[in-house]
Amino acid sequence: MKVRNLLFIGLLTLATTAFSQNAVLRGTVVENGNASEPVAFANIVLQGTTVGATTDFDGLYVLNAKPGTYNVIFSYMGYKTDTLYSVELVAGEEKELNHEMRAESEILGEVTVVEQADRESQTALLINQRKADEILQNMGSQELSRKGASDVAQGLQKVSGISTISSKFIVVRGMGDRYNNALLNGLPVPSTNPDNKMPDLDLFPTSIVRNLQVTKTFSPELYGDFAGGNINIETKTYTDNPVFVIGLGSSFNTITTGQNFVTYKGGKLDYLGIDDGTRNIPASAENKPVYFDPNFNPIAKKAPVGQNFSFRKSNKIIRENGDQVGYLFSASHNVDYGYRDGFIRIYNAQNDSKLDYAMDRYTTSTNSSVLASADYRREGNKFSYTFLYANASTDETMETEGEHFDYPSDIFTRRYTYRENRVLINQLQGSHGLGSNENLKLNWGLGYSKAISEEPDRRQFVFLYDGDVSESERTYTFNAQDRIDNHRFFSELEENEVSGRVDLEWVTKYANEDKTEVEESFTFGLQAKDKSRYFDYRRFVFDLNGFSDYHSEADINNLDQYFQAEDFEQYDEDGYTLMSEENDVSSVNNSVLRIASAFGNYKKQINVRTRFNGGLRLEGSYQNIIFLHQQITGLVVENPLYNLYLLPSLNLRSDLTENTVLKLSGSRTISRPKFKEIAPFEYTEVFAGIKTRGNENLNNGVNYNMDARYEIYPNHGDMISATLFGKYLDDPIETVMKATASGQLQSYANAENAIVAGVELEYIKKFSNFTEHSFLKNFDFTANAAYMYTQTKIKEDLGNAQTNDQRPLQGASPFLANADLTYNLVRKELPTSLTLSYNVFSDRLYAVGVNGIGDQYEQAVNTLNFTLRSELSKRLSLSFKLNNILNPNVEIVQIHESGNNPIVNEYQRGVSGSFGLNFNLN
Amino acid sequence: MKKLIILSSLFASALFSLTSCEGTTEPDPNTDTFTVVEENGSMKISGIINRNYTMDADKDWTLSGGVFVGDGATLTIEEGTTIKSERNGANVAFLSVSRGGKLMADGSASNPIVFTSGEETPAAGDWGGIIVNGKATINTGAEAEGEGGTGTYGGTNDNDNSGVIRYVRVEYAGRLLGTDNELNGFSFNGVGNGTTIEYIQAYKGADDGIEFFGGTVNLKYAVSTGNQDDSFDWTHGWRGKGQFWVVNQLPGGGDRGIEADNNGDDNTLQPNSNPTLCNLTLVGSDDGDAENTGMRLREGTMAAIYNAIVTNFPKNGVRVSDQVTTDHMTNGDLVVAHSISANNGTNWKDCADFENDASNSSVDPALNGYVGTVAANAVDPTTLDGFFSAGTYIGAVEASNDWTAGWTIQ
Repeated sequence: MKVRNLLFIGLLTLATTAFSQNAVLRGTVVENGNASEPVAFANIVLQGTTVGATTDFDGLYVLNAKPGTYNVIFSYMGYKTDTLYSVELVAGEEKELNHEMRAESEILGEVTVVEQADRESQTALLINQRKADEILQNMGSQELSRKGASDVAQGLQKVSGISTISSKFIVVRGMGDRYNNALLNGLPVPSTNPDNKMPDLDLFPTSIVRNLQVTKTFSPELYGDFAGGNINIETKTYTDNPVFVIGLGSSFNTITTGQNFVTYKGGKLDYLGIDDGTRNIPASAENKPVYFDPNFNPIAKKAPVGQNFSFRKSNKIIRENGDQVGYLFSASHNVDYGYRDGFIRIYNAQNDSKLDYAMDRYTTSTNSSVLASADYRREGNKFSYTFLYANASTDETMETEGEHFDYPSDIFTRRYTYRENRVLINQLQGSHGLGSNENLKLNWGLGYSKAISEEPDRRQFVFLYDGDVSESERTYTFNAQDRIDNHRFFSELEENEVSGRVDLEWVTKYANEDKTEVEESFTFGLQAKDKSRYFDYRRFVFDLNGFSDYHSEADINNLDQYFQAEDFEQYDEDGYTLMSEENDVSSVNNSVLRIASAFGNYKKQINVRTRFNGGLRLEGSYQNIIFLHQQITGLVVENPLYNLYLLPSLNLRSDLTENTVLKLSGSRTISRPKFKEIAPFEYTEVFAGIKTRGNENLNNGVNYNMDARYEIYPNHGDMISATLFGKYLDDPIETVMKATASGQLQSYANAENAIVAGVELEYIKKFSNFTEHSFLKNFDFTANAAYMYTQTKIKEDLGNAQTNDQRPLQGASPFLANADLTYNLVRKELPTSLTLSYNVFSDRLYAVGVNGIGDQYEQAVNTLNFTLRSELSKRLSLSFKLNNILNPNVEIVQIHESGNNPIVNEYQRGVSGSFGLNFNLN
Repeated sequence: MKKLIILSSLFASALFSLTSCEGTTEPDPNTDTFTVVEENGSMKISGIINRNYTMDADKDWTLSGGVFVGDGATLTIEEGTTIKSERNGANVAFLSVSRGGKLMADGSASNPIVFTSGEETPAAGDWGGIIVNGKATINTGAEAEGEGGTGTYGGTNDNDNSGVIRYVRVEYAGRLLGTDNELNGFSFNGVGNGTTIEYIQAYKGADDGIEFFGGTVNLKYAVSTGNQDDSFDWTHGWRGKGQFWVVNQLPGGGDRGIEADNNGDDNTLQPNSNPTLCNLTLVGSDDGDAENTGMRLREGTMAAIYNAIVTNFPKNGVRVSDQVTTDHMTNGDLVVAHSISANNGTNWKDCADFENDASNSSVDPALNGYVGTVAANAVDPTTLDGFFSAGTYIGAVEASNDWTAGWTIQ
């Protein structure tokens, strides 16, 4: 084993101070077939010597060596290593040796898929990251598939400082939904979640992703409601060569597959994640008596294995006149089954149990996507159109049973919840090179998107039973007292978003007096978006008072027998209204958010090392929600919020040495209330959940952000970085708990302030950079860790009842870490990779306690995943994944001053696995 | 600070249909935030009553949605007035007195004021009842939000005065809005003891009959009949005085005669619920679940209860729960004495201190319905506090003096 970890450091210095009788080798390294794309940081070594060089940003290299004949090795992570044999160097002479390198993705893609390598390979993205003035991180499709991420949320969890909640929502540097933005190809994405600004990120499968770009510092072309992360999902696009891939796969989970599974009779298209109308409100619901086909009977079966299939076809056509037309069409569909147990427990400040339900949840979920894109290039002009349809459905049967302190009997509840979330996105974007040398660049984009979230026919019944009787002997009675809790519920959300952007960039390059080249650019742009949201729900309740006259005992597995059409008619004749609509006039609400902004940005290469990038964004917004007053008859209420902000940002980047980069960034940004947060009506999103009411006096918050990042590139393809960040949030919008006559009431308020500070570390290591050992050199290692402090102070308010006025930000784990170890093997030009991925997040605030009850914290979770990807032939590749191998206990505890913290929920996810085959039909 | 924009056009348009415009008492759309519209021979009132206003007894009145008596305003209701909830109203009807507002509902035994359902077939839960929000102290923070968006209550003035409620009957209230979110017949939220409440009846409500959320208000002569949840309920630091209370459960549903709490989230929050009550008669019934209990003292409440009869409850007569409450009993901060618990499933449950108190007994009080008293072992309430009237007998209603006659219904 030959370790040469220090070899390349200072090689350039060595080259420039070489003896005069030496020979000089210089040249340019570019990407194969693309002379305009230099390969920066490529590694050039004369075999058998310690002489080498690296290329600069323009792909240029120069090295000095003793005269002789050498084999010259060109290598760089993400590219195929090439050796040029018998290159002769003559004393005192300069030899030019240019080289084209092939991106590895052309070789090590999914089944020899040749794609636009620059946005997919980790190495190329690392260069993009290094070159950027902003502090950003990329995760290309190669890294996503190597680390086994199957949706965007899973992928983002691998990025330093990011954690996920409920596998859907991201927390970036301790900051939740409000502080993050989601873009798709640079244009906004609507939300499918009535409570959130961001869409549920598990909606987007990684099969549509070319690159995930996370920007953690503000620059003026980003929307200003930002302090955590800006997530740009770049979708896959055309390929230089024809691709036609079909994939098939199946999945299992150790606590689900083959085990007992409870469901019910659904619709014919459930498998596709589309309700065929089975769950619509029937016409008979508008009549008297109100009647629904009951469909309450559970169906018990064994959970099958999950299935998925996908296909993708893409190509590029170059016409005779040189125009390029590229296209991509891909579709995927995934069906999965899940089981989760757990508890719903409530303890008071005395640690007395108020509620103790054991819970079983059986979930069938689907996830589908259709992505189509077309690109057209003609000279300096480029147009692209992207269409994305993503649909996710979940169909859950939840059963809870246990004790409620206020009931003499135990309580059994069965609930069926079907939810369908989908987004439809249309984007047309273009860029045009103008002026001489195309130094004027015009970029524009238009987007029209729709998000729909439907929860049709949630059905629930609550029963009473004697918990002292064994399960086999148990009998149930209807719970007539809680009329509202025996119900059918329908809700619908629709969000439409139109967005546009246009910017003009003027770039100039000129030589300074000292003959160094100076690059300067101005960008001026406009952006606007108009987002409108409609939400409504309807609820039909069963009045079972008097029902016991007919049925003293309830057969919980055959409820349909009690609710036939003739029964409803009979009850109606008897003057007994079994079912009626319980309406809330405030259920309908219309919200709108309009943002218009103008920005200017100035960039200048001050000297060889230092770049200045400063800008200003002027952002004006109008936000409103209109609804009927919940209590007062006929009163229409609205709450408009107008704001105008000037948001400056400054980014400085300095290449301190050839291997180290320092980036400094500062900015002022804002945060806005979410739609419902400014609407003073009460609603309960989740059954028996906490009531929530908006606060009409909320204002925008203002955020001050500072970042300093130090990056070291010790070897090519390796990186070490450390980032310090600090944020001061003025008037941040925080959850507060209001004192209330009964139950729990959550609201929102502008807190005094919040402070976020921390450090992020990243480490990327290619073992081949320090060893030539035939086994060890095939390893790659990436790791990141973040440590942060978050604290918010709630303003005093007479109506507040939360136990603690100072607390960490909700969902913020002080410590986060990821580590991934990959083994790459190429046999007969067929690559195989094996990756172990580890993720940990530390204890995080889960729920805020009220009236002396302690806050709830989710305990640290360690996750270990394994991914194997292998090409069996040029036409066939396979993948195998094992997720959650450690299968840890997920625990939520409630803090008690005695230190005896009761566990309010705990469960295990089980180990999941999947197996997939990809066929390359091209 | 931003203010909600209330689009008043609906109010304005509603006013065009006003037919009864005599006098200056009708709302002015320019200055008033409530409307009164005559519809089907009844005066339909909605909105926030922002100034003094009188409901005349010679008209029928309808509450449309939540009607609020605003801060600084007084709503006067003449004796003999009947007020109904709107039939099939889109919003749940209720009458809520805001902090700083007053309700002067001063009826008489012969001419009580009646609030009832406007539905064709009145039923429990048709509307939301009367809510009074006061400025007295509570133990859920400095102030709190009432159930169902009925207003904010609580403050620092234990002598606060929200008006007079006398000879008022509330029927078919107790609307359920959601789990843990229900309205009662009468809800007294942080009401101060400057308020006068006497001779009230909560009749056939779907939830509690009469409930106190903190505050110091006193209540004399109260009847809770056929309410489907608790007949009387206190929580969150109520410290008033009460005398002559009747619970009359009916077979159609019911839970506890009295459910008494300090605070469920934290049983030790201050000020502690600690009323003094004399002359109670709690008559239970079996609604089919055999679970009804007479008096459940729990979640850290203190109380001094004398001259009480608890009878005919299928489950327990008197029961004490939760450690903090039991400690209060042991320390003498929770007292039930000079009282009778008889003919219940279990007369004394988890309260040996009471059971062993020689002034208590389980001798059948031999009532006629809820009428009848027992002389033995009774205490003279006038010796306890000036609030209390003479009543040296156990029970609420003497056979010789049925104060419930005439203005209550069975």
